[in-house]
Order: sequence, then C-alpha cells, then structure tokens
Amino acid sequence: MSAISLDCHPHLNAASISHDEEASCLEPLSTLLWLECGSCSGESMAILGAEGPGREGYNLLDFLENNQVQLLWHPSLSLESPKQLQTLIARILNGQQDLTFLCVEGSIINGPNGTGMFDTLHGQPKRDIIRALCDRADFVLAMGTCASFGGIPAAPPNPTESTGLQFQNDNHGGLLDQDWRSRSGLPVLNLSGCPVDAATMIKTMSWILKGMPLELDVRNRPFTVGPCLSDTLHPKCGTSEKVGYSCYGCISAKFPLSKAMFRQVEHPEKEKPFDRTSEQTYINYRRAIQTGVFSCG
Amino acid sequence: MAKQIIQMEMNRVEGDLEIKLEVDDHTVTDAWCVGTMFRGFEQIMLGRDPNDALIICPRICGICSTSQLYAATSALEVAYQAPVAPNAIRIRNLCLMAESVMSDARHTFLMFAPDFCDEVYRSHELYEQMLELFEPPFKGSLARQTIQFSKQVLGIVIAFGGQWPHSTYMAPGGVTCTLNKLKLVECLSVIESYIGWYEKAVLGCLSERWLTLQNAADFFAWLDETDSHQNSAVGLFTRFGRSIGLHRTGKGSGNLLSSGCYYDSDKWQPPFTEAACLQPAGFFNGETNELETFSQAHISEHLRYSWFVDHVGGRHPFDSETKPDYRPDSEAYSFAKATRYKDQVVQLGPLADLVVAGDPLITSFYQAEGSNTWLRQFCRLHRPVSVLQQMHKTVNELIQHLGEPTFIKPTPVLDADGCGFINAARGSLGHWVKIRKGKIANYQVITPTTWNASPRDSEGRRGHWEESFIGLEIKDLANPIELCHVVRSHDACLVCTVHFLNRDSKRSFSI
Repeated sequence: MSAISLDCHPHLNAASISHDEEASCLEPLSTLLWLECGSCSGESMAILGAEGPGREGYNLLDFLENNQVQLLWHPSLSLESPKQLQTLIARILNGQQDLTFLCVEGSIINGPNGTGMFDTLHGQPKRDIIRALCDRADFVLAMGTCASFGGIPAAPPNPTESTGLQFQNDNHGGLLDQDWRSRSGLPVLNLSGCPVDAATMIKTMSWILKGMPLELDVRNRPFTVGPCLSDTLHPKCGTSEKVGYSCYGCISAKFPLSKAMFRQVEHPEKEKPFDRTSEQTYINYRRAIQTGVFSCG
Repeated sequence: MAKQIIQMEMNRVEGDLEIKLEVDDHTVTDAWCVGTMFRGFEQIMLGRDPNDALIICPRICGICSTSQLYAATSALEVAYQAPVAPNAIRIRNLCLMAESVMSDARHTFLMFAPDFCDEVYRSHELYEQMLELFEPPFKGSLARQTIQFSKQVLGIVIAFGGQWPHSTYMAPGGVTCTLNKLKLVECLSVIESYIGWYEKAVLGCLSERWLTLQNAADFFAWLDETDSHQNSAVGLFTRFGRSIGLHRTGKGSGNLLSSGCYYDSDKWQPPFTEAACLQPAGFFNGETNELETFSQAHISEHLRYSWFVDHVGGRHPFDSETKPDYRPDSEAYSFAKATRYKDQVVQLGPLADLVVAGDPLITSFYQAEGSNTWLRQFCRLHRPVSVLQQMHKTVNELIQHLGEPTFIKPTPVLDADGCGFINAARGSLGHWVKIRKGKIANYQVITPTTWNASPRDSEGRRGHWEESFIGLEIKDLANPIELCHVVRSHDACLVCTVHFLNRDSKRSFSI
C-alpha cells in the first residue's frame, strides 16, 4: 500500500503513515463539517454517490476512510441532533475543535429585509453562523452553484435575497467580501455545478489534503471543476451529445439564465456549450511548506 | 406537572424542520410543525418560458429530482394535450422507480434506523445488533451496503439522464435521450445486482418468497421460520421496532390519498382525464373505510394560519396565489398552506399508496393496527421488492419495443392550464401550470410533505404530522426519542416544501 507524506499538512508534524486496513482505526487527520442553507440537498445526495455509464463510484464514505477525515456533522447523516451541533459549533468557534473543511451547500439567505430569518438555525440566521465558522475553517468549499454564486434561489425576483458565499452571480462579494481569506490563505473555493458531482467534490478535497498547488479561475473555481458530463478527454459540456438537450451553463455564475433555457438538440456537433474560456485565467495558489498557508504565485 | 412547550430541531430529515409540542406531564397534547427555510420557487417561475420548468423544477429537491421533473413535464403535456411516446413513459417510469428504490434504502438505513442506536436503548437485548447494522455515520454494515448499492441503482437514471440528481431528459412528448440495447443491458445488470443484495441483506429470503406473504399472519409466521429471516434487516427492524412500541404510535390522519403510481404506457394519452396507473389512484376515506376515486378538483388550500394574503376558506391551486404576508403577532404561524382534500386532513406517502392500491400485506396490517410509525417504515422495506420486479418487466418491455419512437414533437399552446401528478417516494406530487401568451402566469407545486406537514386550516384542524404526535408519551423530555421515531417515519422532505414555515419564538423555549 502506498505511503502518504503528510509533512505539508498544517496540523501535523512531518510523518509518513502507511495506508492499510487499519487506517480507519487511526486518529483522523482532518475534519469536515457540512451545512446546508438555501439548498435542495442536491450535493448531499450527489456526494453519497451515483455511478453508472461514464461515471465512477466516488462517494463520501470511501473518501472519509481513505483520507482519514472525520465527519464532524452532516444534516442528513449524523446521529447528533441540531442541539448537539450547537455545542460542536461553539467548540469550533472558541478554538477547541479544529475544522479542516467547511462545506456549505445552498444559497446564503438574507431575507426578509436583510434579517436572514428566512433560514434559521438555533433561532439565529444561519448565515451568521456560517459567517463565524468561515473564519475558523482551513478551507471553505461552496458545494454547488447556489453556494458559489446564488444559483436558483437568487434568480429574479430573488424572493429570499440570496447570494453565494463570496459572489453574487458574477459580482464579487456575497456573505464574505472579495478580500476575505480562510485560515489557509485561500478564498472560498467555488465548486459550481447543479449539482456538482461527487468526483469533483472528492477529487478537490483529496488534492487539497495532499498539499498540492491549487489553481483557481477568475470566479474562484478550482481547475477540478468542469462542465456537466465532461471528462479529461471531452472537456466540454456533454448534455447535448449524451442526453439530447443543450447546455444551460449550470457551472456559470449567472445560472439560471433569464432567457428560455431548454432546447432539444438534434446535431450535437453544432452545439456551442457554455464557454468559460474567458474566465479561465488561473490564479495559482501554492502552499508554503513551513506555514501551511496558500498564497498566490 | 404543568403544561410546557418543548421545541426540537430535527436533522436526518431532508431539509430543516422544527417541531413544537405542548406536553402535559409526559403526554403530548398539542403540536405545531415548522420548517425554517424558504426559497420561493413559485415566484421564480413567473414570467418564464414554460420549458424552463423542466430545468428549474428538478432543483426543488435533490432526492426526488426525477419526480419533480416528471411532474413538470406531465403538467405541460396536459396543458398542451400532447401525446406521449409509450417508450418514453417506460423510460420515465424506470428512472422514477430507480429513484424510489434508492430513496427507500437511503431513508431507512441512513436516516430512520440510526435512531435505534440512541444511548437510551443501550440495555435493549438487540442493541448490539442495531449498532452492528445501523450505526451512523456509515459504521453499521447496512449503512455501508446502502451506500454501495444505492449509488449503483442510480446507474439506471445515469444511463438515460447522464447524471443524478438534476437532469433534463424529459420534455413534453417524450424523452430527449436515445434508447439502445447497451443501456438496457446496463439496467438489467444493475437491477439484478440490487435484487441480489436486497434478498440477502434486507429480506433474508428470495423475492418470490416475500411476495407470497398476503397478510400479517403470513408475515409473523415467516419471521419465526428461520434465523435468516429473524436477523435480516427487515426482521431486526420489526423485532426491535415493535418491541419499543412503534406500532402503537404516530397514527395521524386516517384519510389516505394517492394520485396513482407509474402511468400505463399504453393508456396515458390525451385527453389525460383518467389517471391510468399501474398502481391505481384513490382516496381512502377514514370515516367510511371506503375507497373513492381521486379527483384533483377536490384539492383546496387554506390560508387562515398561514402568512399569506388570505382568501376566505379554501382555494384550488389554479386559483391560489403565493403572496407572503409575514405577521408574527397573529394567530398564523406558518408560511405553509394548509392543503386539504374534500375538505379533509389527509396522509400521503408509501402507506397511502399501498393501501389505496390494495397491497394485501399492507392492507392487512392497516386493518388490524391502523396507521402507525412501524407500518409506515415497513412499507419502505416492503415495496422495493415489487418495484424491482416491475423495473425488470419494464426493461423487458423496452427490449420488445426497441425500435419505436421515444419522442413525439408537441405543439405548444400559448394559453393553457395543466396539472401533472406523479407519485414520488414520499407520496403524490402535483404541479399546476397556467400559461398565458406563451409564458408562465402561475405555477403552484404541492409536494407530499406540503400535505403532511400542513398547519391548521380555517377550521383549526391540525395537519397529519401534528395529529400524529398527539397522545405520544415522552419519557425524557430532554431526549424525546419517541418523537424522533414518529417524525422520521414520515420521511419529511422540507427542501421540497416550497412555502416557508416559521415559528413564534416568543412563546417557546428550546430543549
């Protein structure tokens, strides 16, 4: 079995750990907290896995075990109640509990009238809790287009005053302003897609855990994010070729578009799917070995 | 002890749900159901091209995305009076069935069963086995196997839709995707693999054997027959669940509603006046104990206890509006509309679907013990067996009809009304669309959870969930595990509930 070098992980001393069957009994090396806001649970469902023709079996269970990540809490999966979650959140906020990945699904809801009371947890606007947790997490991942850019809840007339975590559609600034950085020095990582698939979510987190440099495009999407039904050999959106309807840009910051989106396709080869070439000027974040912090260049 | 209010936020339900109970000593005397998140889909749909519904509606829910897509497509087909290619109905049904099978497994083994691992049951003789099978997250063997097999069964949806959730492979008139032998080979292989696991781990016997059980007596005889039956997931679920009295809690409404499961590919065509389904539609009247025909004209929404601009009495969804009017100091406590059928409170879900369809095993239990927590969840263990057989049959039909069309181009109508009903895993789902001058003028969605989670209506009658908590005995008010079992047996899907529910924080305190 391969040995993983973990000397670039900010929370560990340099060590080599061999990855064998007893791995799941070892102390977790990192932690993950998943929260949902203005969400349909699409990413939660996707990360449990959906495999089939052209789609591998990436799933949350294998990821947690293969990478020794402890799931602190997930709304659909954990035994602990939201009441016990309150204690966990308090421990994270006062520094007693480390948080590696904060995964947020769904749009950030600010309505009615800026109060945030259309989406509450423990009696408070959930967005306030998310805001506080962002400052304690090493990495904040917006799972899906809604958390990244606002997505469907933010479509006109945006009845819930929704935004993404660090963007509102293609404008910088959401719950967090443009200059905000997490403890690792990265902005919110926008894993857009509707939903973003398990492979993308898991490959991105695995890449981060290995301390590899992270390239983000102008919308802060990691290079791992691709259009639907695309892969390394076929980088464009595959809906017209594989399913018969035209791309409607679900990874775009402007999804869903205001104009009529649905079109059946007879000639996939003539299609022009959502083109993000203009958005693909990548910022290359590298992690400094000593500090464990990512910075540009 | 005086009456007190306890409030509990729930997880392991889809979305956010709060339950407020009034408790006298340890008995629940009143209840209010509250969700805590609103997205406003109906407002987002206004003014859009009707086909946008095919893209936006699946995003109402991540777990029943296929059902939402199917209902939206069906509503447009009814509005346009568009003929549907029979092969498309078969493909749609196949994908819907795959989603239902996945949902029942994920719900039972990832959301419902973990409660059996609560500390409070530590001294129960079957506790160790509960942990071994169901310990969350992903420690119990059934939990881990559920991940493995439920993601595989979604391969059927992926073969046609490319991805799950959220794909737009259905459109008025049929499906956009192609049909070929390779896809069907894939589907058969997936179905057989899933049945193999289900028989071994969940049932402890072959499907053929399970389908011979015709009533409660047959089932209990089967349970006592062998160790493999006793220790299968369904066996242990039954032994543990009934030993803690789950068959005596959570009654709720005795009126059951189903709009029918799985359209008959040959019969479901314009004018769409009769829902021709493989499992028939109906309304089981709890007072007369008689089955009546289902008609969507009897559906109405009440707003007295809801934070919307009120109309007196109830209104049919075509005439209903969604204009939020938040009044925290009024008697209203919810943004959910109180949905009623023939002015009655009703229960939707697998129990309703199966009793209305006349499933012998479930009907026998229903007649003997009524609606209850254990039976509702038992339905989710029982029905996949026949759904999987039906999936096999549907693939065979597709093989027989391989060269036939999968799409008939519709003629869109600029001014039309349409209503689409589909049975999702949680019960009947309805979409109502009003098209004027080629744009959506009104769009209403009533999900099964909307019905079940409804607040009080104009006459002050509680909704089904609220009713199901009345009389519940809660031993430890700080850990109301009895409530958890009942709530989770309802398989709530709050992300689907498009109206927003709120609570009055002044009158209650958290536990």
